[in-house]
Amino acid sequence: MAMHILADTWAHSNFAGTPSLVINNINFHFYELLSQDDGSLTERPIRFTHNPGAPDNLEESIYLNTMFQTSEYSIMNLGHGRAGHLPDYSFIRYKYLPAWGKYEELIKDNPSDYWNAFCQLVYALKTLKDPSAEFELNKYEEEACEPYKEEIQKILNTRQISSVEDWKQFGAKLTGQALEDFDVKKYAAEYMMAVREEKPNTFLGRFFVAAMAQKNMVTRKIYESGSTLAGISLKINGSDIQTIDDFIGLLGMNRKGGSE
Amino acid sequence: MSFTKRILYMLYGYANIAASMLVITLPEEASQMIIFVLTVSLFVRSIQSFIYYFNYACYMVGGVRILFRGILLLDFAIFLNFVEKTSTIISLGYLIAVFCMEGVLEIIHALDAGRFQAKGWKLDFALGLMKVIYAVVSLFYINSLKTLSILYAVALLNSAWRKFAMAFQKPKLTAIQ
Repeated sequence: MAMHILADTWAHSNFAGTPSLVINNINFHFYELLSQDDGSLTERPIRFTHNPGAPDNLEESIYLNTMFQTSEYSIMNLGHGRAGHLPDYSFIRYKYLPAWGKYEELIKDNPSDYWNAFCQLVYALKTLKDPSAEFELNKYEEEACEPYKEEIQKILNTRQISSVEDWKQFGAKLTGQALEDFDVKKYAAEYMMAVREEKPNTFLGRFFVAAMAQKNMVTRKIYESGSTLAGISLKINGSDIQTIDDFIGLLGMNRKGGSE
Repeated sequence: MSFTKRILYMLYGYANIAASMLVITLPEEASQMIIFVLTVSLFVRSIQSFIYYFNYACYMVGGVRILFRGILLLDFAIFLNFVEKTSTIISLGYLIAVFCMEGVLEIIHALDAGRFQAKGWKLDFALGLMKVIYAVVSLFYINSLKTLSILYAVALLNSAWRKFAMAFQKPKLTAIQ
């Protein structure tokens, strides 16, 4: 969860992980920046559709996104939904007008951001292995990643919808071990088949609990900064739980002595 | 769907049932009351739009459409206020026209959902079509207050059972990939 969040902080930057029209909305002014052979960039307008059955069309820059909804708290305005999967494509560079940007264009260079994210993840994992080390911001393990830079950059810049296979092969090469395919149906079935009390202990259940704990932490930080945009954060029974409705499971776990 | 939302849907359902009974027994008073409730609802929503615009959306790229929405809603609220003061037949006719518009929107959404191969789009299409058919049939009885009120009451019962169905629908596990 922590590594996923660290990576997403790079990929999903300029969007907020809470439903908000005034933060996360985008409009028709959205262009893909395509590299030419001479190193220059050309612009191609991006067209968004709302058909979840159709894959993104990389050749014509037609991408799926969530529908425009005027409700501030609509799920359609959560995170980068309005920009579709674009923040998650490592190869893409684009420019657009973020809702909060006062009509100033913002340029997103995913290959560069993803390289920085990779180096920071390696640094973070190294600090986790060393109990005496502390994680510092703006530090990247570029030296350790340098021998693999060419290979990593190749994966990052390959224009494809999913680079899972490339990363799997790279991971297998690094570790000398084959990596199992991620089967979402298997984990969904495990969660659905489990009895209520055992759901938090399943693969997905642990993920949900970790996600709620993460949201707790972020909501508290935002609330302590003086903003109520993410809601009001209450301390209940001495722990940082936002509302009983949302996090009753966490409350129960805290009482039993579980850690966030 | 949260527990609160389920309760709200059930309350809407009961309110629709109560309104349908009132429309049959006291068509004049009931239609005026329904229009009054709609007027207040539109007025409140217009004020909400203005508040939202001046607090948040005025800073947003393209946020002025929220202001326009508020003005439009206020316009509808004022118009409905005038409709309430006319005859019962016109009031009921207006309510049925609104019902017809809802049906058309539901058909459009259902066809859209059908293009996206979403489940349940045929049922949504059929229910939207029923609303439009109600409205068209009502045109033949536009001079009969009793028949109009029965038709509108049936339309309200239709809305009621849909609200109950939404209140009791099973939660879905959605994987966002």
